[in-house]
This record gives sequence, structure tokens and C-alpha cells, in this order.
Amino acid sequence: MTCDEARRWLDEETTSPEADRHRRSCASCRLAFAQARFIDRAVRAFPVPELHDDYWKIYQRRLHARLAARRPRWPVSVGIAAAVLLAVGALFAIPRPDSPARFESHAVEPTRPHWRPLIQRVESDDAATVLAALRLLETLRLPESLPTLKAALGSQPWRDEAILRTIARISPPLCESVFREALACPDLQAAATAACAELRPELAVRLLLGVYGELTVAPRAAADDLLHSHAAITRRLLLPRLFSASDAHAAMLAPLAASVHLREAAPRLLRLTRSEEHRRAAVLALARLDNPALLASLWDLPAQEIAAFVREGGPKAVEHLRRSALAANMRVARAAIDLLPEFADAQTLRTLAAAMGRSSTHAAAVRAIERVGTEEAIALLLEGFREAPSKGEIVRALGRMRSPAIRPRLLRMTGEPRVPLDALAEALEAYPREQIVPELIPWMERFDARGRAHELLKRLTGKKMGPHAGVWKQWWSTRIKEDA
Amino acid sequence: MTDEELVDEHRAGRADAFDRLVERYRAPAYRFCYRMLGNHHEAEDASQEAFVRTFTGLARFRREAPFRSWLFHILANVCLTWRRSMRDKPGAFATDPPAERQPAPIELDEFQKQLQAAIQRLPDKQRLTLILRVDENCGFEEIARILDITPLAARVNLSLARRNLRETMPPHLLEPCR
Repeated sequence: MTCDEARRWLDEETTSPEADRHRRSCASCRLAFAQARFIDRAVRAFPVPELHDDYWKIYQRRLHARLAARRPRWPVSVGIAAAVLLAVGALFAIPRPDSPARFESHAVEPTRPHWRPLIQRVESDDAATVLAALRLLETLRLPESLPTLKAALGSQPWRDEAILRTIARISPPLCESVFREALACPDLQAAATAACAELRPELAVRLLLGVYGELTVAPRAAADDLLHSHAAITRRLLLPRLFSASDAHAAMLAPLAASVHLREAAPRLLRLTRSEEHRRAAVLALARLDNPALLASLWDLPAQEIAAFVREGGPKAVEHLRRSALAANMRVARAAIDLLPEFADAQTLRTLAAAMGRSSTHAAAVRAIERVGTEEAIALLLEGFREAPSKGEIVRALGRMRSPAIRPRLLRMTGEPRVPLDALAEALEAYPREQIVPELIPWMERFDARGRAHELLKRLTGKKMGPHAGVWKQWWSTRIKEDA
Repeated sequence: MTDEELVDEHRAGRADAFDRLVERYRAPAYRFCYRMLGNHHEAEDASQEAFVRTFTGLARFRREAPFRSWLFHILANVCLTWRRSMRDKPGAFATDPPAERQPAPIELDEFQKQLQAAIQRLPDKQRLTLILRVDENCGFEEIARILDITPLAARVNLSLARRNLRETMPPHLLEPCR
């Protein structure tokens, strides 16, 4: 047992054998226990004046005098309310409240339920009557009427938002059950959700989270607004709910968790990504948590889900994706490179250029730049060509891009022995033979490129006419005439 | 008869029900106020004020907590208000009481004087927690209810109170526990 564990017993009346054993062997804990017990004993033994029966008789007499002298203190608002009550008394036929009970000679008269007629009106079928009665009860503030009012409300359908708002203002303990039932009723959800604004924030959030999964679209939007406005409370109450919820329920709460920036929800959401059914909701929520580092936990997911995370996560997530493209982990780096074309901009192209310079990610980066397909991408491939560890990939990519601007550059590669002939032939095959062959034949006249040009012509035309440029020229002009 | 049954009797109009509650709790209430305020006259006034508030508030008592907790909640509030008004108006309660209310004077030794001073210097919540725990044997749940804090906060308050007492008491007075 450690000192910390042993000292947990410090505040207890009893102790445990382990703590005793620890104390015997640990001087500091022994002292802490001894001091605590010493102080407790000293406080307990601190002398209090000894008071005899005679004193208590005087005490009791004096207390009675104070009680008799004390008029119950009614707040000003109740005075105003009483005036209002008198004014509308005729309408509601409410008897005037009796004078508040006074403590006189030990006689305590039970309070007469002058509010009873109001409660009867609360049970009325007419919404206007119910609302008027509730508003009077709100103004009068009669705590003793609450149990009866609660029972009366139990038989009420509460009808509308105004009634629910008034109930909320009368008493939080009273309104909890009323709101819970109203929120569970599809017809009243919208009114109850709106009326939740009158409740104490903690209660409103607790109630809304309790029924969140059952809310229809419009009430849920209203609930979201309210929950966002009390984001701190929502975060506190949502977290345990999220961890104890089923996967389906957690997936439904995921957007809310994200929108209130409940970062602690990330482990639960990551667990949710294992479920194919709830993966998308979890990934989007994770992205909205504004923590791009979470990307590192998602590399096992299908590429489209990772892309969804980056799309939703915005510039920070894209930046993280770029960094991942240069990661030491090759699997991660290649996966990130595959996703980067979707987020192509100048910065992304620079990242891809850097990845192209690494032999382990060269091929993936070249394919990614090819998919970007812009003029900048072509320029990047051509620029990286000189330093590239494997020129074949770039040449093939350039061929597949089929840009007229690239063709002269590809033809010039005929005279560059470091460019693999297979790759160059493959690239040139992407262009029409009518364009390529006449441009390639003059290369036969160059001493340093004759062999490679001849080989390329053989592959592109399937003809074997020897290494003389004149023979190839004659064949080509004959063929043009025949075609014409 | 339990406290809650006496409350019901009082609500039903039984004249002596509240008296019986006062008889049951006057000594603990006085003791608690004395520990908090450190003065007989203020302890008497404060405990009586708490009983008056209890009487006027009994209609609102809803049994969400035991009566004892509720009473101590009121006592704690009264004592804190009392102390604040003492700070604002020094000498406000310094009038001489009638002779029949004077209890026998208490002789305090040096240790007790130092302890009293150290307890009086504790922050309100710590002092309340210490007194409720050590003197009234309240559990942490009950202390939490009385002071409207969490049980964990009650534990922390007690721990801090002990530490503060240990640190503010002259070391030679704590020698016996070494």
C-alpha cells in the first residue's frame, strides 16, 4: 500500500489492516494519522459552556417570544401579487387569502388552502384558463401548493409552449417530471423543447440529452441551439452519456459532441469507427473536434472515410495530411499521398514534390501529381525529372497525361540514354502515330540517338526497316500517300 | 417519534410538536453555534434565530433530506451571516446579557486558546466541515447536503482544515502526537 492509499483512511472513522501495516512501517504516515486524530480529539474535547435546565427554560421562553413577535415576512412581489389577485378575484372567484398563520402561545393553525380554486382551474380543459391560473400561481409563489399542483398537472396534456414556460418558472422540481413527459410526447416535443429555455440550464440540458435520440428534426434543431448556448454544461453531462450509450445512440450523439467541442469524446468516437454502420458519423464528428492529430488513428479505415475526415476537418486537417505524406511510416505516407490530389493547391504540390524525391514514396507521389493533372503538376514532374531516383515512373505519367505541351519534351528524351526505353515507348504510344513517327524519324540521323530512335520506331510501327533514316522516311511518305 | 413525524404533527396543528423538536436539537444547535462563533451570547442568539427560521420555513420542508440536515443547513447559514455582520459591525452583539443567562466562565489552557484562535482563523467552509465532522459526527454525504457542496469537496475541506490547524498551531503544542 502506498502513502496516498493509506492516507485515504485518514478521514474515516475506521481503518484497514493494510493501512495499519503501512503506518507501522512509514514514519510520515504515522505522524499524519497521529496529528489528525490528535486534532480531532482536541476539537471534540473543546469545552462548551455547561448549561443547566434552568437555562434551557429561559432559552425556550425567549424563543417563544421571538416566534410570537415574528411576523412572517412576505416579499414585496407577493404583496403586488395579492393586489393583482384582488383585481381579478371576481373573475376567478377566489376567496381572499387568510392572514398568514402566526405563532401565538404555541397554537399553530394549519394554513387554509386558499389556492385550491386556482388548482381546480389548472385542471380545466380550456388552455386559456389553465394558463391564467398558472400565471397567478407563479406570481403568488405558494410553495405549499406545489404538491397539489403537481398532482393536478399529472392529468394535464399541457397543450402549449406558454403553459410549459409558466410551469418552468413556478418551480424547477415541479417542472422536471412535466417536461420529461412532454418531451417524450411527439406532439409536444417542439413546444417543450422551446420552453426548456425557461429552465435552469443544468436541468434543461439534462432533460434534452435524455430525449435527444427521440427528438424529431425541428425540435432537435431547437435543442441543439439550447445545448450549444450551454456548451459547458452540455459537455459535462454528455460525456458520461456518450461512453455508456450503445453504438447507435453514441453515433446519434456524435454530431452534438463535435459541435460543443467535446474533445474527451474522441476515444468513444474512435471506437465507433470500427462499426461499418456508424463509421461515417463518427469520422465526421472526429473531424469537427478540430484535432487533426486524430488522423493518425484513422489510417486503417477505407480511403474515402479518411478523405471525409480531412474534408470536414478543413485546412488544419489538410495540413496534417500533408505532414503524413512525408511520415516515416511508409504505409501512412503512401495512403496520405494517395489522398492529397483531392486537396491540391500549391502547398500540396510542394509536398508531393518532396515525396517524389524519396525513393520509397516516389511512385505514389508521381501517380498523385499525375492525378492533379494541372499545368503546375506537369511542370512539377518535368522539374523533378532530373533528380528523380526512377525516371521511368515520371515518363509513363507524362505520357498518360497526353498534353501536347509534353510531346516535344518526350521526343527529346529519345536522346537521353538514362530514360528507360520501355517507359518512353509506353509514353509515346499515348499519342497518335501520325504525329509521333514523322517527328521521331529525324532522330535516326543523330549518331548518339540513332539506336534508341530505331528501337522506338520499331515498337511504335511494328516495322523492321533497319537503322537508316532514309528508308524510314521513304516508307512513311509512301504510307501517307496510300492513306490519302 | 421521528423528526419527520414531528414535522407532520406540527403541520397538522399540534401545538407542542415544534417545541419537542426544539428540545431535541437545542443543545446540538447551541453547541454548533458556539463552536462557530466562539461566544455564548452569540451562540444563543444565532441558535434561536435558526429555530425561528426553521419554524417559518417548515411549510417548505420537503423531506428531500433528513430534518437534522435541514436544521444544520439553516444553522450554518445563520452562523455565516452572523459572522459577516460581526465583521461589518464590530461590537454589534457586545451588549451585556441579563445575569440569569450568564453560564459559568470557561477556563482555557494555552493549547485550547491557541486551538480556538486557529479554528476561528479557518475559512468558513473548512471550519463548518471540521465542526460537523468531528463534533457532530456527520458523514461526508450529510456534510455535503448541509453545506450544499459535493462529498468530495467536504473531504477536501476537512483535509485542508486539519492541515491549516497543524500549520497555524505552535509546533510545541503538537508535540504529544509525535
